[in-house]
Amino acid sequence: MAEQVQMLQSKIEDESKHLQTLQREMQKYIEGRQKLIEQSHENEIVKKELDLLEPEAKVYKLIASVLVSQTLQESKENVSKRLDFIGKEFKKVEDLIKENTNKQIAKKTSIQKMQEQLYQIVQAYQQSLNK
Amino acid sequence: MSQQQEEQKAIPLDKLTPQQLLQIKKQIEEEVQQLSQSSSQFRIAIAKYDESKVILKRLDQTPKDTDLLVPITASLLVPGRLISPQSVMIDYGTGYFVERNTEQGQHFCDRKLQLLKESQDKLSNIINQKKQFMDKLNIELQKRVLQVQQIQQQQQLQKQ
Repeated sequence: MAEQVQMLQSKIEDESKHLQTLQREMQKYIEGRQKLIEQSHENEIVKKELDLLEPEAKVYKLIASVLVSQTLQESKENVSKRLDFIGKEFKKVEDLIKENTNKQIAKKTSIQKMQEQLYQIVQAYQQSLNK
Repeated sequence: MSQQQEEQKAIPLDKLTPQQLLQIKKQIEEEVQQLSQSSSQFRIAIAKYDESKVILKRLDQTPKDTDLLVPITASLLVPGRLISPQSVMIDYGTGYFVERNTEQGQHFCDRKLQLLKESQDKLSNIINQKKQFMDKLNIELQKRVLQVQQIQQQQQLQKQ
């Protein structure tokens, strides 16, 4: 009985560590997702403003402390591409979050089962002592 | 997240234990504090844009070739001359800048102010909702305290 108990306990410990790793991963995913939402908002705002400009408007892009002249067309395309990219990254992160959630649920279920097994073994042993 | 909160509200408050009520109350208090901080950030941003509008109007009226001092760093100012009081460079975001005249600059500020005020209003609504919910929680907690007191009083009477 003691062997079984020890084995279960160490398995439970391992699974709990895995669960913690999954939770830390999830934290990073959620932070990344939040950043993507912010970037998407900012780029949406810029896109709307650029749409209001007349074609001859002088647009500049800040490239490492240098303001470089851009055509309105270039700028609009650039912002659109960025928005597309952000959208794709967002979907990726959402898929990762879903996967991680499912893994966490599976881990929690397995930990719970093992804890129940442990409880039953200890119960059975105690009952056999009482007889 | 808001769906979760709706579900929490859907559970009648009197079914929750006092500890759970206290827990939820703490959570909501923290949320209200964070949201209030965001609200003051909105106020600051709105004030800045209002100020920019005023400056743009003044800039428009400043004659060309006025002498001025240009800040190069926080402690270094360099003498200069105002060459083009009509044109301003506007930071649109994500590294894009656009050269516009002062009137277009003021319109830009107006649009930003509108966005900010709309968001600020939404935020105020959410904060009020949370505060109302906290009031309900407090009423429920007080009820529990009264209930416990009543039970204690009855027990005292029975002992006599």
